[in-house]
Amino acid sequence: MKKFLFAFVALGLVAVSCNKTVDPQPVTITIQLMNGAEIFAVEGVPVLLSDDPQTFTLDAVTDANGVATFKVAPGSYSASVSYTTSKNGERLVYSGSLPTMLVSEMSELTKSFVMKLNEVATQQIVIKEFYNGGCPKEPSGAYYNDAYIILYNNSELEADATDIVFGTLSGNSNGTNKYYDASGALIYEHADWIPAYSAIWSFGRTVTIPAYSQIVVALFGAIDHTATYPASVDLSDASYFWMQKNEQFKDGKYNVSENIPASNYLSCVPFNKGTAWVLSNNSPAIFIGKMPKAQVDALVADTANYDTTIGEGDVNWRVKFPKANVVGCLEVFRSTAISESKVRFSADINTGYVVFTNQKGYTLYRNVDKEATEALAENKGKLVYDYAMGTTDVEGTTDPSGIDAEASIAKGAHIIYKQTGNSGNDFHQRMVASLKPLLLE
Amino acid sequence: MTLRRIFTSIICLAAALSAAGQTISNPAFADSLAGHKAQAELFGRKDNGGIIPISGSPDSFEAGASANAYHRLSEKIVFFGLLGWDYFRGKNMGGAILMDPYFNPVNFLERDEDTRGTKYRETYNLEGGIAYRFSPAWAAGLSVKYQAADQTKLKDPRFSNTWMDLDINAGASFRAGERLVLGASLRYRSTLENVRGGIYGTTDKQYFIATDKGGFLGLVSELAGDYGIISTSSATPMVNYFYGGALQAVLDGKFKNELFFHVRNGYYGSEGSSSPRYFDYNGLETGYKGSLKAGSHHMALDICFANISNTENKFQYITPAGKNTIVQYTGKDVVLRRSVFKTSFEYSWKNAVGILLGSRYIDQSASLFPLGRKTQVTTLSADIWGRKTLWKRLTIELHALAVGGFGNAAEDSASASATSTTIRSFDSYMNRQFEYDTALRAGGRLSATCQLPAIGKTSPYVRISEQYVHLLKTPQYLEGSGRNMALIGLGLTF
Repeated sequence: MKKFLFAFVALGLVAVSCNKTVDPQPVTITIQLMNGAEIFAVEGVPVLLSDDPQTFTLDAVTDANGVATFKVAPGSYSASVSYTTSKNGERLVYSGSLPTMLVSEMSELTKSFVMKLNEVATQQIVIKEFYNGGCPKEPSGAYYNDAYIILYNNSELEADATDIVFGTLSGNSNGTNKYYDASGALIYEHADWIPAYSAIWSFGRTVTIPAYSQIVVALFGAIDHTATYPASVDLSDASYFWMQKNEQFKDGKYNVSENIPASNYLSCVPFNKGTAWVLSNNSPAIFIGKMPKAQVDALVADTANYDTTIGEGDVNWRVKFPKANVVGCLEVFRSTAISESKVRFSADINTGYVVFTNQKGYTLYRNVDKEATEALAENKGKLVYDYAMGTTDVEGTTDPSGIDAEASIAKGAHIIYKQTGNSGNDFHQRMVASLKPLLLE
Repeated sequence: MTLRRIFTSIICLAAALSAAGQTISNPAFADSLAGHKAQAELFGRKDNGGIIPISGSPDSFEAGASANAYHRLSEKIVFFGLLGWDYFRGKNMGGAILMDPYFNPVNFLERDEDTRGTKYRETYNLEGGIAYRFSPAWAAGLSVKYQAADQTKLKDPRFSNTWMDLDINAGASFRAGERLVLGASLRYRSTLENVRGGIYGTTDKQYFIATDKGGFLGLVSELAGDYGIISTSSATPMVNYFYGGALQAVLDGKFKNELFFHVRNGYYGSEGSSSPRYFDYNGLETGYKGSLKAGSHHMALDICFANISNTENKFQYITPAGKNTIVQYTGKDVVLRRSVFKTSFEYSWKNAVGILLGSRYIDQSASLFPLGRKTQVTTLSADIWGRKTLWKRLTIELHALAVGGFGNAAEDSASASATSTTIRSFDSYMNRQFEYDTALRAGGRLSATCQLPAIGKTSPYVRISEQYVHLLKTPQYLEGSGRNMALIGLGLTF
């Protein structure tokens, strides 16, 4: 009986010892920053490292050789840099990212990484807000015809917006993207163009934006949408602009209020099929560029400028819009499909992404550059803090500056918005469209 | 009431008829049963009160029916079986999404507590077995237990769960002399819980799920679409397999011993190329069950040690050119190690007075880089009872109950300083569960079983039971100080 019991216990111990799980050991990784072909040998540059599901973000600073070191568990990570400095009195922003880093002990390739930085040019005109995710409608569903975009003059000088154009890259962030090659890189990563889809819109007349001011452009319906959908916005103001319908874009959602003069109508020449400008309402990739209207018309008219990677014909081709003419963009990831999403803008145009949930009336709003805004003497006593319009309660984002830009503007403040070339740093998901007046209690 | 408790209570009914008792899981020992006996019962039960775990209901109703029997067909063959059905309705339930959160190494919770609603659950049990005597010394047996259940919550966010539990035991016994019977059995058990989310109301609200990877530490994700950890378009399975066996020794039919061990492994997720396997886990259970009847004294001892280790798979979705989206695994992390040590000891004298003591010790370590959390919780229970039969028909039982415990719900550490993290601690659930496991409470139960006049060859009975337990201190997190249970059952034996 005793021998029987001992044998049983021994068998149990063997089973226990065979059942051990070996813990993965942490891996020390290095990220070398490069500026073009040269090492970015600047000490103290903060580098952020996140795991792919964005569970956590670690930060480290570079040593004198521009190398940042981390110790992490094996897995998939992404790194980003957004570094502001000054040179000869000029403010410079360097931005870079490594979207997919597979970390393991297997080889040097999985432990040592190189990140190329791009110098981000500070633009006078920026996208301040992009609202196209729709709002809830009764009894169910969402209403999408009230989309708009706001351009803002981020400087103290009057800005000329005459040659500003609006474009988009196609698809949802999590859709099949045939622009990725077998190595997992965008085929236009190092090219001088991006594949614009559907249409490129132009003002067609002289447009100026006063200092620290904005213009609103309605994408489909420049009307008072609140008359039918109380959760929507009123886009019928006489100062607003409208992307007008044309022979191809004639969907029923194209409407304009009589308040808006015809001189405020934008126009385009569609180059892909569709009865309306095609852009994602859950994860758009939108850009603004600078190109005279005549040049835009010539660009889209010449099929030599078309890219046929996706396929031939007016369903598939894209227009190669020059990267040199891009002045701003917004990369949005769908909140319910982050791990399946891929960036559409190349790293020299934009790094990072902002996460968005559509159908709830949320909007994408640019973050305030706290340092630059507080430095303006005229803002003393006018800045409103304790910003409460973020969406962190619903797993969204908020403006890290804490400054309530709209409330501050209402008090006469001049806001300078952030420009780091990283959509995740530059934008947050705001609970309510800024054009929607808040209900007073 | 958890699934395991429902099952245990019904098995105990069956075990009461079995001479092998609940100590022995080897079906070959059913060979010792003589004649035939059967029992059928209907019961209804009402529970009210705030002393509940996060998976419980402060106002619930349960009803069920069961029938179990054994029958010696011949000198060589004994059959036994059980059928049971249970219906549960619990109001004001939220929190835990899976049916039995204690069973799994990873759990899902509703992030918001204002989405509580009514849950309905139906459970079906089916068991059948046979013992066959080959010779005066050798017998063999086989039993198959099958349990199926489904549960639904009727308020957004709605979760629909289905459960399947298949438990197969096969064993043999050997009579080594006049007094000693030895046995050995093998066991295979497979459980499957499918869970699916749903939002049926207006879509102006977002709903979130908290994934508890250990110690109520984990991540929050939106309940929407196909790609979430709980999908709204298809059910995601939580699968477990148990393989093992046991050795038995029974002396004089009165001193029963069983040593058991099971290896456990399982996973959560789908095994397809386009859907991920989120977690893989494995573990071991081993223990001893024994009982001794010596004259007027009866004792029973159960000891069980179980450990489990949960590994999270890191993956990304990739879409190779011209192909469908597939899952590419990039690594794995051990996120939880948990050990549970349970004991129970029972003593009774002349079946008139007795004491039942229980303990459960949980020691777990959750590791979600760069954060970590250790949890240690000990729960102790005591039940002192007395029983008296009056006028040969009425049996009264009085129980004095006490439960309490101690421990540390969260001892946190960080292996790296994070600029930001989306790892959350679900403190309200953690505190409430810890208080449930450790808060000192006392109460009593009064039961009466009345044997009714025989109807033909059947012996009907009715039993009623009333139990009340109260916390000895004002609760900090539990939403009530008391818990009342009232039960009525009608049955018959034949």
